[in-house]
Amino acid sequence: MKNNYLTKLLLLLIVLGFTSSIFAQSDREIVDKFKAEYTSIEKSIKDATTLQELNLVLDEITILKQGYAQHKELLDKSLYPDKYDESFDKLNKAYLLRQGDFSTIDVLQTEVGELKQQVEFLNQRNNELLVQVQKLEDQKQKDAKTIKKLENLVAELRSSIRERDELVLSMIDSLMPPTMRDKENLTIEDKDMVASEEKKDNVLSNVKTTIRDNIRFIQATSLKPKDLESIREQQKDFVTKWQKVGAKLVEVYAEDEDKTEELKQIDELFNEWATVVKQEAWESIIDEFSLNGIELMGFKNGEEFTNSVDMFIDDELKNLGVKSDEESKRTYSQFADSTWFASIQPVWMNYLIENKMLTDDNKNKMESKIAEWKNALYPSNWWIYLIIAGVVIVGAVLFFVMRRKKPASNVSE
Amino acid sequence: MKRLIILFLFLIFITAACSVLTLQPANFSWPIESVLPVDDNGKVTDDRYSIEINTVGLFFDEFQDSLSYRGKEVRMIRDNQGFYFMTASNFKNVYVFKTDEGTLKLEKKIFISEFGLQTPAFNQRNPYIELVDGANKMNLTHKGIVEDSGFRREGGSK
Repeated sequence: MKNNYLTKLLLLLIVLGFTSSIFAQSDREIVDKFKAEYTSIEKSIKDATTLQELNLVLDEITILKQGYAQHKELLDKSLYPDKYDESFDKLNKAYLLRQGDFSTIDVLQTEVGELKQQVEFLNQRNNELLVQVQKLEDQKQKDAKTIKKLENLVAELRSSIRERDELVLSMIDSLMPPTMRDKENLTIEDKDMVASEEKKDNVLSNVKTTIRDNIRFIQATSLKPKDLESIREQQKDFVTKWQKVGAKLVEVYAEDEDKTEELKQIDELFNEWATVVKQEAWESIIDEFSLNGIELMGFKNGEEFTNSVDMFIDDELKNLGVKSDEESKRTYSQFADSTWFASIQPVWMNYLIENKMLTDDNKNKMESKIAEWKNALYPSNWWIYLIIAGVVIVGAVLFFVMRRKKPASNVSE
Repeated sequence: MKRLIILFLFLIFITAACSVLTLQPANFSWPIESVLPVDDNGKVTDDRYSIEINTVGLFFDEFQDSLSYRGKEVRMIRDNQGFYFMTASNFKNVYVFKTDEGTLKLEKKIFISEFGLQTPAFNQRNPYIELVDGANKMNLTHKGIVEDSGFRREGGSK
């Protein structure tokens, strides 16, 4: 066995020696061959699609280095601008860089996986919280403990929804790199990549759930202008990001009817969300009045709000003689002191005017009407004071006249 | 005798004053040959060494045909003394040039084979230039073939 091996090795050496003596080799040929193999390895590093493929390249580098070690002197002189060792340094650096890419991709894939899990968890949690909030909101009689519990739940829900929104925004962001968003037309490879990413993370479905939950949250809670401002900002951010990616997704799914339908639904949900945010201000104002026992006719815009207030006060004015004075004054106090001057004017008025939901004219009209109502309830007694003042003045004048006349009669005497 | 010494010193002074500045040693050798394709106008260009040479005259001298350069490539190398060695497939000779003002001047035309070189290549083997053609190889200098380099010349010599 050993002899057989030695014979083969000897034969190989003879053949190699014979061959090398037959064909004298050109230095140029050695250098060109080295360059070709080097370039091929460079290409393999760039083209490697998995870490396993890349690891095979490491062996190729080692073989190349060992194979050409005998020509190091020639390669040092001939390779330009790099030399033998520097060329391998470059190759090793390229290998390590690419290895780093794979590590990053690995980390990103893990992150995306975790992101998906978190979104799913938050979707479920938000749903549970929404149900609890809805239950508490529906309770007609709310004691302090219930109100506190509701407030805490709403705060928790708001934060949870916000957290999930951020995650879904990250998903939208990661669907396509910014360079792809700027492209006029996507290539087939681009489209395939985006479709595969979207499918993997259920992005469209998550966007829909996010918008729906936001709508449900707004509908289930009574919000203050500060909350609405924050929701508007968040909505703006969401819309901006979606607009950039959504238009491209229409291109990606041009031939997929189901996905096209889903994209249409998302557009409709965005519109609904915007409407609900606007409507929420009016709903909250109605709730403010309602909490103080004032039932206004429903309204959905500034004009209707003004008319509603106008009609309510008109009714109260008409009933002035019919209802007891005490009852009328109590209604006024609930309307004006407890609601209008306590929360509508200081809390809502700026929000409504800044967001062009109410005009200055509407505001002035309502305030004049409230003043008119107050005057009817508490009439001003200025004329009594005028009469009293007049009597006092007349009395004083008469007093002085009388005193002047007395000394004159004394002189004649 | 005194006059002879003065004359000798004067000559030394004059010679010293007229001598040219020489930097030495200088090594002009290229590590490997350049294989340069000939363009439609007969020119070859080497980017690494930034040289451009019109080879029409070289091909005419070899083949007596002014268009024989078409589709050919020239193999070129420089030895440590600065001489350029040029040849190509089917050439019977290796041409040795030295530089002059804007030209390459023929220093030596070394006859190699009556049947022409099939796959010639130059290697740098300081102080020689090795010419390889298939199994044959030989050492050259700008003066000619180094006789003990073991090359079997075919078809006589020039």
